[in-house]
Amino acid sequence: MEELRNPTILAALALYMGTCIVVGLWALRRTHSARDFFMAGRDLGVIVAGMAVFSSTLSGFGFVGGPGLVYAMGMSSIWMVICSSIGFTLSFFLLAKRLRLFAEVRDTISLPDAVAARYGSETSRLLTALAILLGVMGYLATQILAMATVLQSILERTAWFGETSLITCVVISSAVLVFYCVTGGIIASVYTDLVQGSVMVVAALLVFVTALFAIDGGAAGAVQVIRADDPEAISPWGTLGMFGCLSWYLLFGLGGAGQPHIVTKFMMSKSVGDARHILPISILGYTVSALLWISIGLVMRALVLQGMHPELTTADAAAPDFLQAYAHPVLAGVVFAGLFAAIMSTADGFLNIGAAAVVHDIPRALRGRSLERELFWARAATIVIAIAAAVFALYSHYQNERLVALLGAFGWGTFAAALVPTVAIGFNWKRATATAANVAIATSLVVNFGLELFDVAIPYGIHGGTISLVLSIVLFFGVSLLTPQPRLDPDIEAVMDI
Amino acid sequence: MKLAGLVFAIVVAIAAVVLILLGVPEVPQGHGTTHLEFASMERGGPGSLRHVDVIWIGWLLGALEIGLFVVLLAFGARSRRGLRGLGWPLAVGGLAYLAVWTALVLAYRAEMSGAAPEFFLGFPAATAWMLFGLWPLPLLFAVYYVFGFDRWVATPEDLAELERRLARRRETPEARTEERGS
Repeated sequence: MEELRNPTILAALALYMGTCIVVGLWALRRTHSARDFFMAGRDLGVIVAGMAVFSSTLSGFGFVGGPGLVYAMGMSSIWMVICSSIGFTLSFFLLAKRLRLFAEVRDTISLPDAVAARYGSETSRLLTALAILLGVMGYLATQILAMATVLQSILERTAWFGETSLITCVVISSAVLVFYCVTGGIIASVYTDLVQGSVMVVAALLVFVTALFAIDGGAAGAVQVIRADDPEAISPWGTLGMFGCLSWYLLFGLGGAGQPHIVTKFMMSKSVGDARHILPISILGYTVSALLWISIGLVMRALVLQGMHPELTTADAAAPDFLQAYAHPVLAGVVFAGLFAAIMSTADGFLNIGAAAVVHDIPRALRGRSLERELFWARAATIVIAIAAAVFALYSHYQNERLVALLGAFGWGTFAAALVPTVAIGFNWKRATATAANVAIATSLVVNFGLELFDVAIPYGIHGGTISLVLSIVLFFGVSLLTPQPRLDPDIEAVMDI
Repeated sequence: MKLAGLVFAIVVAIAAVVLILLGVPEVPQGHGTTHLEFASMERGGPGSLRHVDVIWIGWLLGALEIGLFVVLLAFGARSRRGLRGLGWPLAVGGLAYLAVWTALVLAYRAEMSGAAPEFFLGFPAATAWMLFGLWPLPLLFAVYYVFGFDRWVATPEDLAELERRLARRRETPEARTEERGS
């Protein structure tokens, strides 16, 4: 069976990518307008929406970076996981109802649309769209690079495709992603999310069981080995320490309400009341999938400490090495498909909101109306953004590795600092003003970019994104209270009264 | 304004606690150092000693974060009619959340003092509080959302009133003019 390991993995990947292409073709027939392309016609069922919310949240980071962090730092990064229960709940309490109602009363098809409706400000729309576009480029580049790197590592173990270059891998993996995003827009995106989320859940459950049997004594055995080497690694804070962990708890717990590719999906359900069913599906899917993150990291750390496995070349090799060494070939195939699913399910959401920013929001902010033939241009923009992100990823990989990291800083932390005050707080507080929203967005861009550019290390391992989030919320409240009370449109006020 | 003011106050308090913390010198390698034997791993620096001087600042920071989360839940659920009875369930959940957090910190503090740790499901007590307490407890708020949606989040009366207000607006001369214009 071992000789069939790589063919099995390749077959699982081919099956998965084929499924994505079929979903793209199916969604093509259901996409007739820009509203379909960006909002799925506001017709998503609760299971599809729930799976889309969770699978968009768990990117490739959860399947590769997450286990790597647990391997390297012990329990520290598990704070990014345990905040999911409060994080999802907060996002739903703060935004699910209001975003869905804004979509109903103003026919909004993007988050900047909703921001413009709430604040009556085209500047706020423009800044939101620009922040999203910058974040999308950084996130997409990292996701595309991750996909290509994983594909290359699989292919190089085969006899036939061993010499495949990274550029070819970028083209292959991006082509599938772009195909279904262009043909079916967000409809293809959310229905592939359903497939991708299901693959991730199955893969995580199987890996969790496999990991428990990979070491003597299961989870308790792994804990004892890690504790004997360094008690702090298995303490609640891991090696990072208390304050780094608490900064992650705040940033990832509250920051979910500022992630545009996630909260935009709140506008797509059939009715306001669907939110109550979408929430538990999202939490359950994420929690089960996160078992992979925790189990692989802990077991690989224990195995290396015991001398049962050679030391990893890098921490990020924890998941791939585990799959190659301990997983049945079929399971390895399912998990590699799950890894691609995790990456693509996040990347497709970014492609869609990026296209909306380019063809809908930025033109509206600058010239008062979106582009003619919006659906055509949305598809064109999807291709252009994907190509730009792929070129950027490759250029960065070969010329300047810092570039992706720099734009990657416009990831979770920037979205959190820009959009938690503007959207999560501002959509619930009538006193919030457009000036305050603009200041919060600008602050998040400047602070996050500055911290990354100047490589600022904050004592106690506190994450820079948390500092940026706290600062932008304080400024948002302060500027709102110092500027004249806004006069809301009656329909917006009616929504905010509920 | 009351809830918004509370959110603002808690965020300012978090900022203040972080500033106070930054005034306390961090012990060398306080947030981890490379493992002596395996370069791809880290170790927890000087061990639990790194937290001796700052553990109560850490408890306060965590407590403020929990307070912020719970107040924001109320902030999102609130309507023109207030919290419609959700205040007490949120307060009870918030206190339980805070109690679990306090238990976690106390268990860790006991381990810091050199006491042999108790284990639960294979994990040291403090870590067990984190995994089996702090992680699942907020699901209580999700339960409120799922089962109390019609009562606390969006009542049928609220939605009907919204519909009436929007209908009234559509009937105003300005709205009719706007519709003709579009």
